[in-house]
Amino acid sequence: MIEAVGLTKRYGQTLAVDGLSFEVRPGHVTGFLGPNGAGKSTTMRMILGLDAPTAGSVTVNGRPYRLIHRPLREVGALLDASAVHPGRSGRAHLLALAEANHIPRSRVDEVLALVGLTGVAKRRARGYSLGMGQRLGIAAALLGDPGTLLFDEPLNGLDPEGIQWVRNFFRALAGEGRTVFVSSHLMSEMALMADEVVVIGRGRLIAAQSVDAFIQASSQNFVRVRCPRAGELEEALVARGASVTREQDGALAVSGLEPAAIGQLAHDTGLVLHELSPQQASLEEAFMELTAGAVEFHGGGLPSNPHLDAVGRG
Amino acid sequence: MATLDASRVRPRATGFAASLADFPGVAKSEWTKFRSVRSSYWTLAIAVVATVGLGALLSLAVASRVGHPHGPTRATLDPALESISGIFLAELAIGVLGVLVVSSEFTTGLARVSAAAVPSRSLLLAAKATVFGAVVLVVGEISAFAAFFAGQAVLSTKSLQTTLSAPGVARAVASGGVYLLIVGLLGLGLAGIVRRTAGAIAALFGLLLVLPLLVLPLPSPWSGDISTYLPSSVGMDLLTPVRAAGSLSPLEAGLIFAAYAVAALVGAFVLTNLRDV
Repeated sequence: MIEAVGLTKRYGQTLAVDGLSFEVRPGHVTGFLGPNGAGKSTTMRMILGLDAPTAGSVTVNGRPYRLIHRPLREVGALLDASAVHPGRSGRAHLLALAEANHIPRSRVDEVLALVGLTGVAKRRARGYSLGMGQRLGIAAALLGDPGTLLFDEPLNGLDPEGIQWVRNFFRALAGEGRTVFVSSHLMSEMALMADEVVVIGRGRLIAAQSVDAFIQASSQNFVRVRCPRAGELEEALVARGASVTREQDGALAVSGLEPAAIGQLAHDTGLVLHELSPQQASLEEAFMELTAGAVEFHGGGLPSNPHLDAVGRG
Repeated sequence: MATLDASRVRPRATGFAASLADFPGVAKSEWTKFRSVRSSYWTLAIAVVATVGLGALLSLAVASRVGHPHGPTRATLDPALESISGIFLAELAIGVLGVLVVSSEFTTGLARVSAAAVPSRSLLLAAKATVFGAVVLVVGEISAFAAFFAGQAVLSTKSLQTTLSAPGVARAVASGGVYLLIVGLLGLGLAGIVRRTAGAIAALFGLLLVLPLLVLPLPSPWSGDISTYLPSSVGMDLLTPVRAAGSLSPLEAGLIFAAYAVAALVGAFVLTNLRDV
């Protein structure tokens, strides 16, 4: 359980995190979303007691992180997979962390096997691929078998197989009753992995709810309707208060009316429908819509397209 | 993987007592870090070779000039200091190692991983300084005595040698390890303050090598008064068997030399607790 109350961080003139309050509950994978520079990494650092909040507080299991004794047994985190001494082997890296928290040496080999790094454990980290580094970071987070796990962009550098492994693994960790808090800019992956989302923009909370509720709230949900006499149907729909736009192939995109009401209306008007299909916004579309006003760095030039706009790491 | 263990979530005692109880584990962790990178071995090896090898080489050079018009005699030569003078080269390696022990954590980002594992910044720094200091002291003492005996063996060919029982000699040689310890901890403390490798090395070398040169051109009473207390001067006094007229006693010199390292460490402790990682 992670709880932030009025969490604020100011760097000089910049308010990186601004009065953030949210809860991350156990038993779920909670996605942490926000555009570049939204304050996600700063928030993660404050959770781990690395950066001191300017105001407000954040606790893990009811205590500030820095008051947790031997914290790796309670909280595991991966902030930056490249944060390893390049001349040190993966095994020595994990061993040093284990010793500092009285975690038995045998657990080091256990987590190495768990992430599939046993074969390269004695190699110096300099020779690790991006994906191997990411796995080492995940191994370090799991070292103390903690009830709370934080991951900042854990999918970076992983191949599709690795991504799938992480997704299933995180879901299994949450299934065991752990708190799993994950930031990622891969929205499609987040949609598959997370049950809950915390969305921030410019350091402020935009949404903290279930993924389903988050997507439902998006105005990007509509009903696609095809009708040979589309013009007449459009008039009837608009008369009933729906808003209608034309898709490129002539289909109507209707919002403001349920599919059942649209079907009934078509029947009452004596029109034949060739398609009546509810379209749900993707997590990415919902995210783009809600954070549109909170993007710190817009890409210039190209017309806005949700599939092209970069939703980079923050 | 085990499921959640509720007992783990129980609050425990924190603060100084808990830190003390955690010290052995954190020190063990720092020892693992130290011995798992090759640069530690390389730098220590350079320090040993510099101390013993240069000491023997200098002794050899001195011995070869015996009998020349301005050659060394028993009256002008300090055979003990001559044989351990390699320490003045070894200190550069040890100082850099002290810097790297701390700065490499910041340059690689490991500092955050370490601080997440050990939330008490003071405990982490204390464990680092203790482990590094212990290694340097042991290696430094062994090197100093090895350099002394090697040097005396060379000098004995011209009957210029001294022994540990001569006045001040045992103390001077035994100070060799302490000297390297102080320089190493000075580097470690400076790195804790500056956090960057280049900056900390510049500050360290500036204190040890450049400062004496800057003081030299000052008007006469100041120049001498100030330079008496500079790290390079008090370090030299610490390693000299017989106190020269007007210089500090070995104890005074040692304490002032140590005070530089202590000041840097105190600065590092204060700043590490105030700053974000």
